[in-house]
Amino acid sequence: MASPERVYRGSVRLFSIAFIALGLLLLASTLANGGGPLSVGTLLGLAFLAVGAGRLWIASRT
Amino acid sequence: MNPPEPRPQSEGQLEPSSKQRLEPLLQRATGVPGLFVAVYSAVGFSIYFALGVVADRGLGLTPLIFLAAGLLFVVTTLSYVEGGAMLRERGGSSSFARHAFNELIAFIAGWAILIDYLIVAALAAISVPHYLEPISGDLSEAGWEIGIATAVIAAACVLNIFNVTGRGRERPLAILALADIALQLAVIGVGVLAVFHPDRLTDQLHLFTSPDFHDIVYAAVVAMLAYAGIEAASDLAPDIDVDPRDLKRIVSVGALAVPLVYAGMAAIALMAVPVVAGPNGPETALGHEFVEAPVLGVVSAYHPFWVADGMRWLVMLIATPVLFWAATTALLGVSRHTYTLAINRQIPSWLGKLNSRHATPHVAIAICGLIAIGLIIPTNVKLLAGLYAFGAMLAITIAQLSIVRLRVKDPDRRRPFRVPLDVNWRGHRLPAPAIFGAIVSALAFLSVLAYHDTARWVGLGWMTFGLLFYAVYRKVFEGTTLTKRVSVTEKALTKQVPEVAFRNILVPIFGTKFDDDIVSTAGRLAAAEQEEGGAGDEGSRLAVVYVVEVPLTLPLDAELPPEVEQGAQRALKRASDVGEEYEDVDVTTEVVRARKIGAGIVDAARRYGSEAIVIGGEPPTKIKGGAKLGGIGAAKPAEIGAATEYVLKKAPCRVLLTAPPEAPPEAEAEPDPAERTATAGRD
Repeated sequence: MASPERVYRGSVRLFSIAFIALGLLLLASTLANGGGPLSVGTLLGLAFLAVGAGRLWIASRT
Repeated sequence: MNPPEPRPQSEGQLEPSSKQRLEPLLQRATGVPGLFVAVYSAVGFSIYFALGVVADRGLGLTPLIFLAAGLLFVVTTLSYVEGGAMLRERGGSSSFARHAFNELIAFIAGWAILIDYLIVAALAAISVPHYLEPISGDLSEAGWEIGIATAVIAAACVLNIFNVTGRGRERPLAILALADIALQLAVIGVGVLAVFHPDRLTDQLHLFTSPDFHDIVYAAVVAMLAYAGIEAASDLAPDIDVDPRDLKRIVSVGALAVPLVYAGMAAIALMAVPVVAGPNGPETALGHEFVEAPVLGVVSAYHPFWVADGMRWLVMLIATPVLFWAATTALLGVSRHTYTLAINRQIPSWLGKLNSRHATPHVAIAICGLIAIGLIIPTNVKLLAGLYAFGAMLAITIAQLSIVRLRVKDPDRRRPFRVPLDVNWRGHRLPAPAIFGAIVSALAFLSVLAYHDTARWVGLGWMTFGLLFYAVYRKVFEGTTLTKRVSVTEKALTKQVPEVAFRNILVPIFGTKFDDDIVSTAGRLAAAEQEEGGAGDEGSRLAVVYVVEVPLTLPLDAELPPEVEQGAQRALKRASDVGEEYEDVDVTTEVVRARKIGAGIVDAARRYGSEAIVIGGEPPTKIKGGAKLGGIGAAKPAEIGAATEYVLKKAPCRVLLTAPPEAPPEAEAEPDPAERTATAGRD
């Protein structure tokens, strides 16, 4: 059975990728529905992308 | 990994046995995964009941309100991490205030947090029956709702009293936490595909009219409910050994992720259950029909139907255990919190008394459980949310100010984590985020007083009651000032039940037919001790003594009359034979000479280092009156004789008294064997 540390690291990567995927999905849906650069969908999408990528970057350094 | 730091002196030094008993309360979780599970258990659940009450007033601005409240959450988290990592004590804001200010401020914070723990437990419990609706819609009816919620609180109390907490259950809790995160992301992801209509967020939005300024401020303050659990998470400070770099890593991104997910869920929620024109202005069903189970309401609006149905079951399967565990965690917070208040003499120590077996403050848990059930009965989520905001804003303001003040008062103290962005003020490096957080949370607290009538009066009533209670307790019962720090040890809060050992038993005999029973009783106890391994390698021992009363007219070592000597030896031989019937029990015999039988027995017990005396209570003397008739001493007890009474009073160990039943007049000369037993003695 995998150690808790390994499971944790795997989960961090998995959810970071999920955040990025959600960010992209939000951006694509917002743009498809005619949303502008300051619409809620765009802002949330960018934020999800940033947090997902940021966490993935931190995870890759440790 | 850093070695555990020594515990603060205020919690006292424990003897090994006591320490072992208290271990469940003190044991440390280690590593980042443990920290993640523990913190997530304390923080990650509140969206399941916070979304509705925030959307009720925030309407289309709800996602932005969650982000704004998330900003306060981030700066609050930074302060709590600095304080918790620095002080390594339970108590969160109360503990910070104790070090930064005084006991009175610490009590105000602690008392405010106490009601918040109870509210979170009540809210989580109220939500459970509503999230069970996919099974049957009846479960959210009033009778079932209160019944299930009460059962949740009762179960959470039992688990906490028996110390069944997250410790040692990291794996299932980690699975639950991961499932919860996955569910929240799935609600957003599926929502984007199923109900993504950004225009619905702004359809009924007329800034500063609908929602108006009061509504925005109110919703923003109540949104902090979504981040309930900061205090509970900070209570873990002394339990956790995490590298400061890991701590920074978790705080840096983790604190941002939670508000972001909540904002994302709020955005999807208001697209799925949009704001519509109502009789009293714009409204959303999230704040009414679905206020107790908003996430279930959101996924019910997904389409096609099979997606909604599947998501409803998924939400039920994950949200229900998450909420149940949230109630348990909140009551764990209560138990730790009351314990901390008790050891600092802010509440009577009997309230924080630890169960000797499970090391949990069972009295406090039971009382708080009853209060939580009382909060459930009105089933008014909005009222509870407002009341929560009262306590949370007060405690957060005190916490932020404490962190700022500690930078001035104790700048050289080791801080494994520091709130970033210092500003220099009169030579001190003050944390700008904490100053900002203090100002915002103080304003938020004032807004609760201004805009929420019920929270204002109930909250102020709670604080007034608490302060009066505190003042009376400190002044009258403790005889100290309101601000002075007074601590009691953990040991003092744990009533240790002394373990009675039967390795070394003294058995006084009197040459009656009673003797066999007394020796048998002692032999059984000694043999049982031997079987349980309590006797160690040396084995159990019976020291059988026959006490001969030597009159004061004779020296103690005077030659005894032959019939007395022979009678004593005969009785001891018989007792030895009976005692040796028990395997692995050594029997020694001795004739003891003493001026009084009782004194001889007590002296023998001391000499042998006996752990227990098994004695047959001799009948009381028939000479009544004592001092009343001019005799020496007080009246004699009616049930036992003088020798037994003396032993019970003076024995240096436990006494197991075997007394005969009341004998019929004709049989008094030959008392029947013992049928009654009683224990007495000194701990």
